[in-house]
Amino acid sequence: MKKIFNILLLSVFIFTSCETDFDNVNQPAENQVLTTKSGLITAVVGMTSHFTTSTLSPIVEVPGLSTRELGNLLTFVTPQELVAGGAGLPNDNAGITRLWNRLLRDKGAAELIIENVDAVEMDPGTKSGIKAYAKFFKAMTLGYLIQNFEQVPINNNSDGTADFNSRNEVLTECINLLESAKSDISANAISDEFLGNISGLDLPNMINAYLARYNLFAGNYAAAISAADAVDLTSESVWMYDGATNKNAIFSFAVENAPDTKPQDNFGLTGVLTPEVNDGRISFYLSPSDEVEVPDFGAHGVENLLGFFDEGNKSIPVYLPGEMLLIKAESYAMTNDLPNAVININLVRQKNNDVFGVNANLGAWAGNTNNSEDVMNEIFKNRSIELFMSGLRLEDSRRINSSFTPSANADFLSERNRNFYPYPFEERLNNPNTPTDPSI
Amino acid sequence: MKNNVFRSLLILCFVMLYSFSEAQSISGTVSDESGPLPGATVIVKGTTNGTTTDFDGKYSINVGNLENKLLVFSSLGYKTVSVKLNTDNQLVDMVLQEDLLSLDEVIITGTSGIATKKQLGSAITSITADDLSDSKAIVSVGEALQGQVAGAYISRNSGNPSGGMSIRLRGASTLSGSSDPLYIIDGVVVNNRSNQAIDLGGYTQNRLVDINPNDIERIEILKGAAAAAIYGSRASNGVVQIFTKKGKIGAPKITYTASVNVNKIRKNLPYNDAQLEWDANGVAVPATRYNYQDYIFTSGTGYENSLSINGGTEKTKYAFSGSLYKNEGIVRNTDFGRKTLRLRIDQELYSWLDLSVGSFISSNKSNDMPNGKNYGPITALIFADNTNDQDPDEFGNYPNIGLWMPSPRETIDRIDASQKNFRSISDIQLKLSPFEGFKVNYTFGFDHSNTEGLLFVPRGVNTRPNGRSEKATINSNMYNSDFNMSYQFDINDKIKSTTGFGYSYQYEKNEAFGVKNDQVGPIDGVIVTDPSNAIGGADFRSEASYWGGFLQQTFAYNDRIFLTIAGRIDGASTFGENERQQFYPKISASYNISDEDFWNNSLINTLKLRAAWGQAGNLTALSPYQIFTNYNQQNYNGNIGYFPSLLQGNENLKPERQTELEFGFDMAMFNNKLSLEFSYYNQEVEDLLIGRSLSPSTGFGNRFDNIGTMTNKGFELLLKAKPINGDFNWNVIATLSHNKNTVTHVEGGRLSLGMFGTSVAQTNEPIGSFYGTFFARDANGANLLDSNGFVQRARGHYEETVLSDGETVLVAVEDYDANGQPSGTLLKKIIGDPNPDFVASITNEFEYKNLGFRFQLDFIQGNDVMSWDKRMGYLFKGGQQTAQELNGDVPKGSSRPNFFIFESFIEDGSYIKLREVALFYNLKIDKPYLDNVKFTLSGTNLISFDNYYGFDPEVNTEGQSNGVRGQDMANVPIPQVYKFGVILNF
Repeated sequence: MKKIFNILLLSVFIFTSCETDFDNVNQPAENQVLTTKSGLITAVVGMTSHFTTSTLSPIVEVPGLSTRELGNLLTFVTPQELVAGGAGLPNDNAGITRLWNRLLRDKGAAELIIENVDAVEMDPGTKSGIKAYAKFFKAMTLGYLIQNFEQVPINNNSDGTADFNSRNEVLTECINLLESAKSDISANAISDEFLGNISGLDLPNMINAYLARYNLFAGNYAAAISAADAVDLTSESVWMYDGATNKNAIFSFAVENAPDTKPQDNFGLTGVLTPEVNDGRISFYLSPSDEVEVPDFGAHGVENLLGFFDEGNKSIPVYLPGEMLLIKAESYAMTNDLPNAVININLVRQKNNDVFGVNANLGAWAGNTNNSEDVMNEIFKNRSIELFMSGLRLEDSRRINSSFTPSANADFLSERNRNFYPYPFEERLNNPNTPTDPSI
Repeated sequence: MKNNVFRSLLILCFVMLYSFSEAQSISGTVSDESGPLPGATVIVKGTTNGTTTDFDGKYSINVGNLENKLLVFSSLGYKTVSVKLNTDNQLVDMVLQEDLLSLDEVIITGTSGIATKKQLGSAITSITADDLSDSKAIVSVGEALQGQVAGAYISRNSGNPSGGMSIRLRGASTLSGSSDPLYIIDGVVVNNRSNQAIDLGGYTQNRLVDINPNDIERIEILKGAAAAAIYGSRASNGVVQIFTKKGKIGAPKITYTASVNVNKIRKNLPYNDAQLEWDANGVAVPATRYNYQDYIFTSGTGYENSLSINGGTEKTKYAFSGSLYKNEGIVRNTDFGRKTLRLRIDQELYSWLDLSVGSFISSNKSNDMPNGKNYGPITALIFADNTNDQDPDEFGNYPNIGLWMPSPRETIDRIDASQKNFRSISDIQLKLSPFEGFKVNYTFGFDHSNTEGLLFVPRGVNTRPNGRSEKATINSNMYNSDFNMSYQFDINDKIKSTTGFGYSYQYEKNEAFGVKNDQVGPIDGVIVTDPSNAIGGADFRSEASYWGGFLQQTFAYNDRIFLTIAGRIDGASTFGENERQQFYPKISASYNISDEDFWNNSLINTLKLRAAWGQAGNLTALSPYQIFTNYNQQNYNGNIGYFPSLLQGNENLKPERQTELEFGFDMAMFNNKLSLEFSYYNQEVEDLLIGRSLSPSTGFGNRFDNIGTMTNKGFELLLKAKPINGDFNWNVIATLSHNKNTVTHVEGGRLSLGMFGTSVAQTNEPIGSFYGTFFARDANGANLLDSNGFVQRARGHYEETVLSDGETVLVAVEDYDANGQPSGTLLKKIIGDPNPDFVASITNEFEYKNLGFRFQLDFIQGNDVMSWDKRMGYLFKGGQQTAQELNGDVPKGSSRPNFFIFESFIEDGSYIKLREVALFYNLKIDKPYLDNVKFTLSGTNLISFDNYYGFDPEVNTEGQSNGVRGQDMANVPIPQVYKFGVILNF
């Protein structure tokens, strides 16, 4: 009896040891990540991982559906609204929301790294690598945003009231960020320590390639040409996937498990833009299929996707060398140097030694080399094929075919059914600075 | 330490003391107006010497020396009577008078020590096992309570055999966490989470389903902060304390219960039964259409066996029970089975020290059917075009029905999902009474639960040809250590003082673990895949603690007027250092006016007035570590990386705080044949923690902020009546509850709570209001049709409107073009309210001699339900709306526009349900080996009177979720149950 009592009395005191603070053993908190060198490196890796596995899908899928790169096979609401487009495209479309949210998260992660890296002591080559990479990342995410939305905030704001910036301001910021990244790594060469975390990526060439891209978008044609010239066309920079925990983002939505979206026949190009039958890039990107869209959505035929996307562990290029040639072609064309434009078009058409195997293997262009409209059409056609499913079609169509105004009604057939997307509902709900939606 | 607990338990099992003294024996019969009263307590006043009456109301007790002894007769629901014993009366018969108000009933919950109901200033619901229907087909305590509790809105979330319940006491009191009350079983704070080990799409159980309802002896329910303040930080949703059966002095009482039941679907979802389809030219041509529901739903059967034994001596009392429960769902291949064992031993160690030890073990398993976005028979049902035959061909191949998920039949036949739970709850309680008036209680409770979820999709399933295998476990350990003391003394002849003090510490640890494989082998029966090929999984470990202490003082004047003042300080590890200590006060008073000498009212026999004010908090709204911005692991190319999670941290969060004022009365009339308990309450919840959405340009998705206030105002009425007594008995119990919830402030004016932004909190609107697109209407309120003659969405522009709390929201203003057609952007507004105006219930029980009949009707009025099942029917071809178009009842194409108009699928959720109808017969055997047998035949949820489109308006797709109420999407309907039961008392 006494013994029981003793045991119980003891238990009273032992059980009541009162702990009141517990560490999170699952995840680090922000201040654990951003205040050390190793923490900042993990933030770079995490950002890359999130971008490649999550953000890249809406970058390709959303404008792909609006510009006929992709056909819609099932009746999910999200792609259905996107292939219909028009003024009725709601601002809570899940695809647009994903595109907006994920890009802004990546941009925010990059901004936090840029903000904090200076205060942390480390080898200058590691610091310059982290900084330059984060700046590249911010420029790239800003770039994808401005390709799809009329205005975007250059800087995230944790209070929720970020200011929006015009397209010109944003492109200028993208260019400045890349120039600044360039000077970071020219001041201190990237250390091997940091390079090991971004294997597969050739940062100096990536920076030049994106400088070329954004200078073209901004109409800085000379700068675009010189940046494109600075890119080593034999350099390869790729986003890598292991096929298991990190799956190729395009594979996941357009190939795996009976997908609802697949590439349209002929890359979605019609009329004068229809690819030539012996274009080597057709069999590079597409394998024939008899499948046809639901009639409601335009009844386009669709093909199975190959290219960089037909397996879960395939790498996706950060940019293609062909884009550099086409940037130059367009920059020359826009500055009325049609002969040089055609030279670059033909470099793409006749390419048979592309590092990624994107080889058209065609003859020289037989079109009217003195007609700038024809030249621009040929450039658009080649961009659409060469850079298939890289998230550029909406930007390209809007820039090159700018005279076309999409219909306010649902439109399953035209080259594009929107110019810009409406600002997502959550942004409008919470941020008073959200601009008026574009009319189309 | 655990070992010691077990050892002491074991020792106690064997040390049962026997200490009757042979002496004077008193015996007799206790009865009430209608006959013998079994189970009444007979005790010698001032001692623990007592017994209970047998089935015939007979008792016998050895009392020793008779001199100056009082024999006290009591039974729940009856007035307590004491009789002076003298040497002459060896035989004492007693007729007890019914007391519907039970003001003498001892209440434990929320009082320091114990108090009778007459002392309390706030309403308390006390329900005994006798009040609960023993014939109703139920799986958990929640269902047993439906219709019993005034001020409660109790609804079943789904018809799964282990389907969870939602219990709202006096309305919702939080936006983020669950509004379900704090559950305490025999002093142990227990886990009632509704975690899913594997997300099967809203297939949540509450952990309360682990408990065998047959074990319940009594339930006490505190409904708001005014009563619950001494539970402080965890009590703003109210407290439900369950007391399980305890041993009673006397010979062993054995009760065996057995039942069998059949479950059926009450109503099919409307579907496309036109044997037609559209050809390429849009002409309706003959086609075969199938009713997929014929295969999805089936009749299930179930059984239950439960044995309980209890008894004891003066010093040692024991209660033991065991049960087996198995029930099949109405969705083919679903079931729930449960085994439970419970043991409680009460031991007097010394005259001043009592020990009580309890142990409970439950093991259960459910076979589930997913209802998610990847597979789920009902999900497939609402999206599929039912022209496809879903039966497999002769080789066992299932057709692809053209969806992104397999056909309902393929899912049912081939996909296995199950959940296993193991639960053990143990407690040790010590009661010390070292000197007169001074009591000390110590309770240590330990609650362990282990949940294991499995999902197996074999190879070759359409849409997932490589199959899938998932296993996940959730391990939860909680303990609470509560120390309470009270001191009672008389200040003078008239005034008594009771002082209570208590301290409590609660700790919990949760661990989730899982692995996933996206590829499984082709060998039948081998479902485990090598974890080295796993494509994902989960590993999350968390710890939290909650602590607090209280001081409570009660003054009693003349045993008529009672005044209680209390305060409590609380903390929780989940909040930031600066905000975690909180103080919660309460004050309450009661006046038993009918006890006054001047009271002379023949109509009203008893009248008690009461009022209470108090505060309580909600420290559990946050999960551990949510105040920080955490980074999630995201690897790239073999390197470990971290990426900010969607939730932005906020270290300045405070717990939500509820302030409640309530007043009411308890009244008995017509010779105690009718009792009324009425309360009015006014609750205000401040500092609502809201996981608000952020503008994505923050880089985050959401953040918790203390950015809201909410009120609940309402009244509740409980009526009990025994209009007829005698050979024929008629008992009535009725409840009526009205609650008006208003969100009085949310930052930003409007806040999305979930379900694709359709459930919102908006200033001056009730919580969970539905928000969405609505019909364009003309000046007369008729639908404004487009050029096709179809309905269309309202368009226009938004205007900034300042609300009463100073927040600005965008309010839709409709615009029209020159042709009178809607123009501008698509508009959204508040289009419905899931909160009922009234919840009521009435149970009538008639008994004629041994034969009884009971029925319970539940009423819900004035709530809306968003029927996503109906919405899908507007667009997808298996819906009834397509049938109407094919049949030419409505123009072709006229349904589709409704799909985009959310108002078109807001449905009236009001219903009147025949919750239970039962017939029972009591057969007296009166043999030494068997007292009596009770036969019951019942039907549960047989009829629902409603205008609801879908299966059943009693539904919550998001389970216990608080803001998202009354949403119905691909939910399993609540079955009709026919049950036959036998109860044997030995």
